Amino acid sequence: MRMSLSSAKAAAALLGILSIARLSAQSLSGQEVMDRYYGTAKPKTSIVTMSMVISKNGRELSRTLKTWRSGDSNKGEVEKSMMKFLSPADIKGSGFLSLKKADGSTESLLYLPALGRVRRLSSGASDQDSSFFGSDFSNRDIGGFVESDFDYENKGLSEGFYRIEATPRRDLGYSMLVYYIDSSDFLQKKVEYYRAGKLAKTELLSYAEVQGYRQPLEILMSSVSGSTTTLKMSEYSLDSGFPEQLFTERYLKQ
Amino acid sequence: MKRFWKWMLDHAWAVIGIFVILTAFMVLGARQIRQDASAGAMNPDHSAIVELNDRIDKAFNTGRSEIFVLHAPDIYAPGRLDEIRVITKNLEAIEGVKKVTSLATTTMMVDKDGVLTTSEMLGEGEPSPEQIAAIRKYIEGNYILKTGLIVAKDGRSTNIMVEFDDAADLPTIATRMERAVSGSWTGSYDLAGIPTIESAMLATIRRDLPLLAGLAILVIFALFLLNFRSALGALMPLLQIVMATVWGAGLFGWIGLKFQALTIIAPIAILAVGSSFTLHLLGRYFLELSRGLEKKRAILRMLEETGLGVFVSGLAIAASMTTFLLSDLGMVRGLGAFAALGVASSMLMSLSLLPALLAVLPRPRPRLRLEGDSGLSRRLDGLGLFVGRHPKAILLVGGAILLVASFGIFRIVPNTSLIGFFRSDSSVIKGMRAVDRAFGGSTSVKMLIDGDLQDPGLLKAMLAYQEDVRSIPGMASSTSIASLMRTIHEALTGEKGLPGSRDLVAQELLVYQSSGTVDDLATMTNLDYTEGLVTFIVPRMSTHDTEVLFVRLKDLAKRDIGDRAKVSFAGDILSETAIEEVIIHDFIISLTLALALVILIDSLIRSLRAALVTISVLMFTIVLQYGILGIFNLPFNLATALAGALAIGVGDYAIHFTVRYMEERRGGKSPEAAVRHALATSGRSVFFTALTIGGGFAVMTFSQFMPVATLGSVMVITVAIVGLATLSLLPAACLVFLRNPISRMEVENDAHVSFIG
Repeated sequence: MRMSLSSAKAAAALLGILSIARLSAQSLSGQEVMDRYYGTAKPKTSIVTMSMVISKNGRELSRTLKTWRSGDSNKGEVEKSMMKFLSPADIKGSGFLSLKKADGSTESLLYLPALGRVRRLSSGASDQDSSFFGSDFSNRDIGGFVESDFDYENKGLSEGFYRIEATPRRDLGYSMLVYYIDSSDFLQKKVEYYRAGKLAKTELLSYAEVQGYRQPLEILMSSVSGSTTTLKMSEYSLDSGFPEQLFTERYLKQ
Repeated sequence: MKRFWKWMLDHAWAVIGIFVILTAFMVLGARQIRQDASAGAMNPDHSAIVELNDRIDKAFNTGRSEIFVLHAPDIYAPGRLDEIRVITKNLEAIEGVKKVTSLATTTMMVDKDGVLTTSEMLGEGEPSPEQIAAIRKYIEGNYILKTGLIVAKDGRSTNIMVEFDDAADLPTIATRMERAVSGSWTGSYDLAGIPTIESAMLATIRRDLPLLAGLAILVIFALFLLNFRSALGALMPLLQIVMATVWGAGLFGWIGLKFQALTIIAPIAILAVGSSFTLHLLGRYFLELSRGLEKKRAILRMLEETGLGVFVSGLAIAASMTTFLLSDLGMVRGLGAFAALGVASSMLMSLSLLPALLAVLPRPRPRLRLEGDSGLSRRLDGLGLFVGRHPKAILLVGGAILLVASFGIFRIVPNTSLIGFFRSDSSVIKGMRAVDRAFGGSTSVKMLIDGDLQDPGLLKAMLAYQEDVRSIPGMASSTSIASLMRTIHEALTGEKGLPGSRDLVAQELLVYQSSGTVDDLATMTNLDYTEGLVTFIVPRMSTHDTEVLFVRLKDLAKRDIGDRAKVSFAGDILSETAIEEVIIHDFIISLTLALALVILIDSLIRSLRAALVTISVLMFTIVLQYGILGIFNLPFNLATALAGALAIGVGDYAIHFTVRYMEERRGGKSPEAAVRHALATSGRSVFFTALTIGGGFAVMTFSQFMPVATLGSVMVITVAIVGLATLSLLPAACLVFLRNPISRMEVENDAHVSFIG
C-alpha cells in the first residue's frame, strides 16, 4: 500500500505533536508534579460528613462521622481536626481531636462518653501508623503527608497519569508511595503504599467540584490482606468558618 | 488358552519386545509423578471439622504459619530483644510472608499520667535497660501475656509466628525464614509449624522411596538366589517384578495422581506380591524340569498347573487394593491405585513375560532338589502326615488362638495424630516437644462462637470458660475478644474486669482499633462482632487424648456459655480425629469388600466351598493381626488400618495351596494323601514365598514415616501367620470341610480339563 504525500505529512505532524507532548510531560520532574498537586486550591476550613464502610470476608462495618478541619501544615499552620461519631448508636458521641503541627508532631485527644473521660493519646510515630478506627487507613493516611516528607521521581506519563515514586526522607511507616497524578488536573487518583518493598495497600480516589474546590467524593482503600474501606464524603461545607474553641477538650466532650 | 500360550512361546521375542516398549512408555509416566507432602493432603475429603477449620482459616486469617521458638538463658538479657526485632524485620521482608507476630510486633497499651500510649513493644534500635525492665513488667502483668503466650513464664524462650501465603513455594520460603532466624539469633531455636512438618514429610518421601525400594529389591534378590541357587534364576523374576513396579508407577503417573508419604507402601507391596507370583510359577517350572520335561513343555505345564493360582490371587489382590479407592482420604486412594495397577501388571507379566523369558533363555541346570528328597520337603511331608492324623485338633488350637486374639482387638487404641507420624527422636518431634515444654503447646484448638460479642454477659461467660479450660491439666494460654477486652479495660480504667455496658465495650474497642492495624482484631472477631474465635494453645497429643479433651471442652462450654451463643470446635488436632473416623470407616468397608471380592472371584473360578476354606485362613490372620496390635499396644493408624486388606494380598499362597490340593484330588488321591502331597510340593513355595514377602515388607521398618514402619512390622508378623496357617490350619480345614472339592471349571468342561485346558 502506498501512502500519499499529504497523509505522510499529516502523520509526521501528528508524530511531532505527540513527541512534543511527551517531551513536555517528561520534562516535568517528580517534584514539579507534586508541587502542582500540593498547590491545588484548598479550603481554609471544611465541615464534612463521612460514612466509613469497612469490608472483609463478606462482612461489613459501617460508621458515620462528622469532621471539622482547619489549617494546612504544608503552609506552616497547625492543622486542626475534630471528629464526632454519629453512628452506630453504641459509639455515638465518641470524639477525636487532633492538632498537627508543621514539624509533624501531633497532639491527640479521645473522648468516650461511656467512660465519661477524655484520654490523651501519645504522639509517637507508631500512633500515626495505627489504623484509623479499625479501617484500612492509618491515621497518617487520613491526616495527609507533608510535601517535604518525600523525594519524588517521575517514572513517566501513561494513559494521562504521571507515575510518581515518592521515597520518604524519614520514617513514615512506608518504604515507598507511588502516586498516579492526573495530568489534566494534577490530583491524585491512585496511590500505592509499600512496606518493606512490598505492596501493602492501594487507594483509589474520585473527586467532585464543591463550592469551587475539587474535593474527594469517594476514597477506596484496599489492603493486600483482603479488607477494604470505603469513605464517602457528603454535606460539604467549605470556608464557612467556625469558632476556634471547637478544637478544645471542652467541645470534644459535648 | 493353551493354544494362545503355545503361540506366545513360539513368538517369545515379540512378546518381550512389546513389554520393553510398553515399559519405556511407563517410565515416561513415572516421570510425571509429583510429590505431595502437604499437611492438608492428609485430611479427609468430607469432614465437618476439616471444613469448619478451613472456614475459620479464611474468616480469621489463621492460615499456614511457621512457629519459631527462640531459647536463651534470659530473653530479657541485653541484646536479645534487639535480635528479635531484627529477625522480625527480616522475616517481614520475605516475599510471601503475610504477617509476623513476635515480641517486636506485640502492642503495649499503657495509661500513664492520663496519657494513653499504644505502641509496638520493640521500637527502633536497641532498647535501654529501663525499657527492657518496662517491657518485662508489662508482659508479667498483662492479663493475656502473663500466661506465657509470647514469652515463656520462665523467661527463657520466646516465640515468633510467621504467617505466609498459601501460594508461597514451601521449600523456598521455609529456607528463607530459617535463614532469617539463624542469621540473627545467637541462641538455640526450635521449629514447630506446618512448613517444618511438611518439609519433614517431603524429606521422608525422598529418603524412603529409593532406600526402601532399593533394600526391598536387594532382599528379594538374595531370597530368590537362596531359592533358585542361580543368578539368572534370581535375576529374571527380579527383572519382572521391577518392571511391574515401573508399570504401576507409570500408570499412576499417567493418571495424574500424586505420590504421598503413604504411597511408599505400594512399590514395596508390588515387589513383595509380585515375587510371590514368580516364586510359585518358577517353583513349578523347576519341578517340571527336574521331572525330566523338556523346556517348552515344562513352561506349559507351569502355566497349566500354577497359572490358575496366580490368576486367582492376582485378581483377588488387585481387587482388594481397589477397595482403597473408596476411601475419603486421598492418601489411601493413591496407595490403592498404585498397588492395584502394579499387582495387576505383575500378574499379567507373570503369565506372559515370564514364560516368554523362560522360552528364550537356555534350559537351566537343576541345582536343587525340589521334590521328595530335600530336607525341607521331608519336614513338610512329616507335617502333612501330622495334619492328616489330627485335623480337628489343629482346628481347635487355631480356634483357641483366635479367641485370645479377639480379646486383643478390644484393646486397640486408634491414633492418627501427627506426632504418631514421626519417630520420637526426629527433629520434628523434638521441636514440637520443646515448644510444648516452653509454651504449653505447639498447636491450637479453635472454638468458633456465634453470638453477640459486644454483649458484656457473653464476654464474661467466655472469660470464665477460658479460665476453666486453663485449669485442665496440660492446657496453656488462650486468646479471645473477651480476654482482649479484659486487657483493654484494665489499661483504660485500671479495673481488673470487663466493661459493664455494651456501649463501653464498643467504645473501648474503638480505642483499641485506633491503636493497631485493621487486622488486629481479625483473628478474634469478625467485623460486625457476630462471630468470634477463641484460640486455646494445646500440646500435640494422641487422637485418643484429643477426643477426651474435646468432650471436656464441650461440657465446659455447655456449662459456662450455655445458650448465650452457639459454639463449634476445630483445629489441627481435631482434624486428626476426623482422619481417625475415616480410617475406621475405610477399614470396615475395604476389608469387608476385599473379603467378599476374594470369595466371589474364587468361587466363580473354582468353587464357593474352596473359596470359603481359603478365606478362613485369611480371616484367621486378620483377627490375629489386629489382636496383636491391641495386645502389644501398636497404633491403629493410617497404615496399619490397611494391614487387613494387604493380608489378603500376601495370603495368596493359601489360594495356591488349595489349588494344588484340588489338583491332587482330581488326580485321584485321597484327601489325606492330597494334603500330604500338596504340602510337600506347594509347601516349599509357601515357605520361600513367605520368606521373600516377609523380607520385602521388613524393609518398611526402616521408614522414617512411622505408620509405614509399624505396618512393616505388622506385615512381617502377618506373613508369618499366613504362612503357618497355610501349612497347618488350611490343610486341616481342607480335610474337614473340603474333602470332595468340586471345581466349577471341571463341571463346565471335563473332569480332566484344567483351568487352561
